[in-house]
Amino acid sequence: MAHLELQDVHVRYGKAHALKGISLSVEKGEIYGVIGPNGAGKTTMLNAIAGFVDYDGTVTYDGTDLAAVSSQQIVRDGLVYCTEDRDLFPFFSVHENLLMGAQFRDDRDGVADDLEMVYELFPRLDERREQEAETMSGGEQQMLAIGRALMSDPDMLMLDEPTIGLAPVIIQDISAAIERLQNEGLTILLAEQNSTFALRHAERLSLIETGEIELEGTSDEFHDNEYVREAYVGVH
Amino acid sequence: MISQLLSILVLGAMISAVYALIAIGFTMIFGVGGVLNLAHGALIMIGAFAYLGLTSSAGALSLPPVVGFVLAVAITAGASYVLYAGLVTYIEDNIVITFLATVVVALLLTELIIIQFGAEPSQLIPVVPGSIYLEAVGTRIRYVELVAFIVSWIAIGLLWYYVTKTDEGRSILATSMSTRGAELTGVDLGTVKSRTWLIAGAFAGIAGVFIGTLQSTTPEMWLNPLALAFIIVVIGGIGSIKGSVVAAYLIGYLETASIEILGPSFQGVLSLIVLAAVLLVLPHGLYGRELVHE
Repeated sequence: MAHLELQDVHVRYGKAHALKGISLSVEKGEIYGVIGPNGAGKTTMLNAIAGFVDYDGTVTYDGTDLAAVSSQQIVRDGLVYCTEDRDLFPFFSVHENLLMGAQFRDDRDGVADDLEMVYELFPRLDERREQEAETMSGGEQQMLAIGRALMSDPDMLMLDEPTIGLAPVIIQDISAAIERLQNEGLTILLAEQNSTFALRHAERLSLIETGEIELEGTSDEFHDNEYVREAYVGVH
Repeated sequence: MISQLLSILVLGAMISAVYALIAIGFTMIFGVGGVLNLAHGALIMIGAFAYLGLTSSAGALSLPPVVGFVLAVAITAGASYVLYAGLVTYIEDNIVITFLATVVVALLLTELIIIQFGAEPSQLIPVVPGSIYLEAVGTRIRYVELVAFIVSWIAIGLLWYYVTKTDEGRSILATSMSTRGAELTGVDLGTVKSRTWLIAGAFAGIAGVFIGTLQSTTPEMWLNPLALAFIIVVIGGIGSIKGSVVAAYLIGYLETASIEILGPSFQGVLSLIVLAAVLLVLPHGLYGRELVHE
């Protein structure tokens, strides 16, 4: 059984048909990449999975149909979403933001361990525990958004454009963190315009254009694909 | 002159604490749901009249004042919750409809109060009777003013502990900063809003008993606290609890000083001038945050 499965998912905003029948499945422990240009529907797909927009079709997570599950419960069930906007609590400190990620958890020891793990994963956050989220750089905010999501003790993480607008040196830090999380068995659904970044991490990928999956395959297949190389990866 | 200043200092501190309760409830409800609750003053009125009904020697119950106070606070908190769960929750996405509906509720409650208690001002029995002459200050204060001050600050302190030290309370502040962020961290928005309305109602109940005792208990008594809530919240910064407390003290002292120095008819004038000045110079208020409620 797939960890997360989408079957013929459609999203319509008024007359606009934003997702035109997306089907894909993510296996436990893998990093699944979704690439495609701005406006292709990547974020809409993640929003649908997270329960933030209405959709037709089915989304199942560990065999449970998510249609009837509230977005809060989806988080509590271990499917945690880092949005492109990050949606941090701007006037909370780093520490308070992280505590919010674990606000529904009762396992005090587990929360304490996870706090330590996040601070170890992102030493920059450790140095800035008392700093307000709003005053941090984009890269630090991205680390905080991922850290906050990890505090919810996820089985699967959905990352939307985690490298957007970040300096290469920060992207390396995020890369290192993603590799480590994968080694620890976390499943990640990664939506990225930065195809190079997605290809580096994902084992399997989909290319979405105008709401439809144009191509699906392994990262090797994507690397070798002429169209993907020319349109999305560029010369590296 | 010095004794007048001391007197302003002491009297202003008392009433400002009650004003802070009014403003905190109002701003929290706006913060978590974007609802401008124009029935907030009416909740304060419910607190005063519930207390009147429970403790009045003419009434059937004539409970001891302290018991009446506790019950009046509970009743107001309950009324606030019913207002949210029975009405606002169905319309809160539409700002204008919510705005109008809460006005209608305030007017309806006014009518019901008139039917039940009449239109004439009523006298509340002080929670604690008596007064003391403060020789050093040269003014007489009523014990009930002192009680209002202490109870208000205990309530503010408990709230502060709740929203900064507990997950449940922190979720309320978090929701006021980012609704989407709250959803992403598994916060149940309905629960957060219900709790917020309960807290705001309890605060309004406390304020209602003391405002009713210290100022007046009439079916129109909701207007002034509602105006105060607006003024204080705008000056303090919409959505900020700290700003509400600071601005409540600013306004409370301005009012007290106006009454002492210029006379009772000037009570609200300075506050409005300060409000206009703040809107011009600091449109986000003293502790205003542009982002509050997306």
